[in-house]
Amino acid sequence: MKVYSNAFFAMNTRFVFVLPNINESKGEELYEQIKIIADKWERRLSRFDSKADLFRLNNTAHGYRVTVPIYLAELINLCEDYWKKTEGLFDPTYASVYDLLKKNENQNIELIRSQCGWDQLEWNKVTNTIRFNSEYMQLDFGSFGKGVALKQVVQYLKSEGIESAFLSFGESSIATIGSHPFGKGWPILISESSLDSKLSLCDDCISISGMQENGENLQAHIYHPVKREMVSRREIVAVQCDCPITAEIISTTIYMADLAERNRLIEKFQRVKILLKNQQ
Amino acid sequence: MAAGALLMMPGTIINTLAQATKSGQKAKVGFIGVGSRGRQLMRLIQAVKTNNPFEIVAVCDNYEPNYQQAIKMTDGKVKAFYDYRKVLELKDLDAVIVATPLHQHAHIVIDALDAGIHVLCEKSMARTLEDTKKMADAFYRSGKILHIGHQRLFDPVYQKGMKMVHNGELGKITQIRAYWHRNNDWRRKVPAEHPELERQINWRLYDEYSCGLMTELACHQIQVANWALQAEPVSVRGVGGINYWKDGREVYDNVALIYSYADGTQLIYDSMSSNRHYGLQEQIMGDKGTLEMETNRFYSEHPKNIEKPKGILQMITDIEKGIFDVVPIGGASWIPETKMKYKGEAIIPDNRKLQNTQEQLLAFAVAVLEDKPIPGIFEQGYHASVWSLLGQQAMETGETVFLPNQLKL
Repeated sequence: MKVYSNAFFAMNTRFVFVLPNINESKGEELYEQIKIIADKWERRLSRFDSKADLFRLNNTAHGYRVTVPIYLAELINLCEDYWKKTEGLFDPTYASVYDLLKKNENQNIELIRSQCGWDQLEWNKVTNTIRFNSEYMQLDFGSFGKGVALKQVVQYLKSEGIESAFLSFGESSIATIGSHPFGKGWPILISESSLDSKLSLCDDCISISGMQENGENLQAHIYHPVKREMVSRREIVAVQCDCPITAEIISTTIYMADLAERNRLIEKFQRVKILLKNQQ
Repeated sequence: MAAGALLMMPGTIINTLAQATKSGQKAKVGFIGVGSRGRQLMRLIQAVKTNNPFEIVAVCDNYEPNYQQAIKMTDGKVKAFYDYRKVLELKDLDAVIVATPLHQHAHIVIDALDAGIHVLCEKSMARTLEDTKKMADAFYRSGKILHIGHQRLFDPVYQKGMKMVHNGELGKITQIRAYWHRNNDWRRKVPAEHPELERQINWRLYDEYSCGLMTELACHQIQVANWALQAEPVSVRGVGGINYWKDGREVYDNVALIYSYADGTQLIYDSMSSNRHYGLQEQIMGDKGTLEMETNRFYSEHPKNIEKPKGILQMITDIEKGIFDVVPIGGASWIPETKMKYKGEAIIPDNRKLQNTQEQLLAFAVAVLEDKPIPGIFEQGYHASVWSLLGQQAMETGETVFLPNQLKL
């Protein structure tokens, strides 16, 4: 069977997609649009690109009420919703703290830390306005931005009549349409571990978070807002569900959670499948 | 004629070299100016162990330490002179390589050409526009070879890069940005007992002898821009000054210019000598990609053929063969959410950096042995030299400068 596949860099990672039974010409057409979608979200949600809406928001909402575009309002609503559901574990307002910790700069970190947190902003979902009550507040959608792009790519491909597709953002955010052309679902095996790491995706997705031993020293990259520390557990968390955004948020949150927090979350998010692989 | 159309690739040079030296013939060459650059050129020639097309027959310098060092380098086996005219009088001299201070290029090169001797002259051609044109006139009337020392013309990375540009792989070129940043004062030590040698030794710092950054560095990059655009600029404007090396020098220690081309493309150029963080680069930018040849990189605006993970490659193969099997995500080296950025592609993969100046010398030798210049090489040097001087003029006058009619070839 013919297959169209392509790859490009977006959102600091490699996006690869596989479209069975699609010829080169149609594939190229789809590729161009997929790339436009990914680039669009990268530009919108970048914390570092001065032309991005999020960058502008992060630089204007301190002390002032700022009206945000509808798509950003939807994402902010989503963040608030998950902040509540995860008891504050999911909190995208700690970018300033994370940046300092990454650079090993601890000066003023306590002050900055004390002024971050979702409860330090004022979000009005009726007027779509937001205000940060702290000059150190920065919104960071990096933990689920790929999920946002993936969701729209899936919607686009379905609108083009695509019935089978495998989409991977850095092999950590994967979405599927339909099944593998020669079997049921898209069977994947995570790493070379043993049980519970074989999954089948079909019109759903998986997000994988965490750190895995590979002989190198890996830098922790997820910040626990309640414990106020970087999480560096050698562990993988994979979350399977029908929405790539949900999958990303929950996988990150489960990864950072301790045992008690985890049990509460698993109880709460019963509609998603959660897999854990502890390397320690 | 734009250089590049008929430029020889290094592989071709080597083959041609073997052919040209088959009969045992060598280009008899004299070195006029054996300061640091001249001696470096000599070393490069002496380093060619197989099929060396050169025989160094004379060295010449009017500065005693250089004179003595050149004799030492040649084990005292070649003729040595203080006066370049003695070199030109030698019988059986095929060519001279001129590496004197800039202000001395013109009369030496013109005399050599008029004496029927081929010339490789270090860049830039001359200190003044008038002298540059006189050299051009001498070249055309003599029918001999005059190559100017722009070694990037012989660099395989640049040659391939320019092919990419001219084949349209970068799309429409809309801007070139070039810079050369160094952090040194260019000063050479003057013997305490001979303070009168200050201007001779540190000629690069004085307006009478040099245009500093423009004629020492910028002219290379103007040549690259012209090569890419297959055109010369139509105007230039710029500013320059001394804001750091306030040591009595007359040449600028920082320059910033815009060269405009007829199709609307700009070459945005700057050079400085008080910070080397960014080094040097020419960024040739088109709507499909960017070339940075100093670092052997090409960046596509829409990178394709990006390597896919092994598991997905296996998946693709399975589907093509009608196989349904599990896809391994990750593997021993997998790190989820690892940052990946497009780092561009090598223009020449696994490029073992050739010594492009040596390639230039060998090409000159072949040209001499075949008694014909490589087409376009002189013109590349001429336009680069003229426009570096016009850039200096623009900075000094504060005006937009255009090419005077009398300088058109």
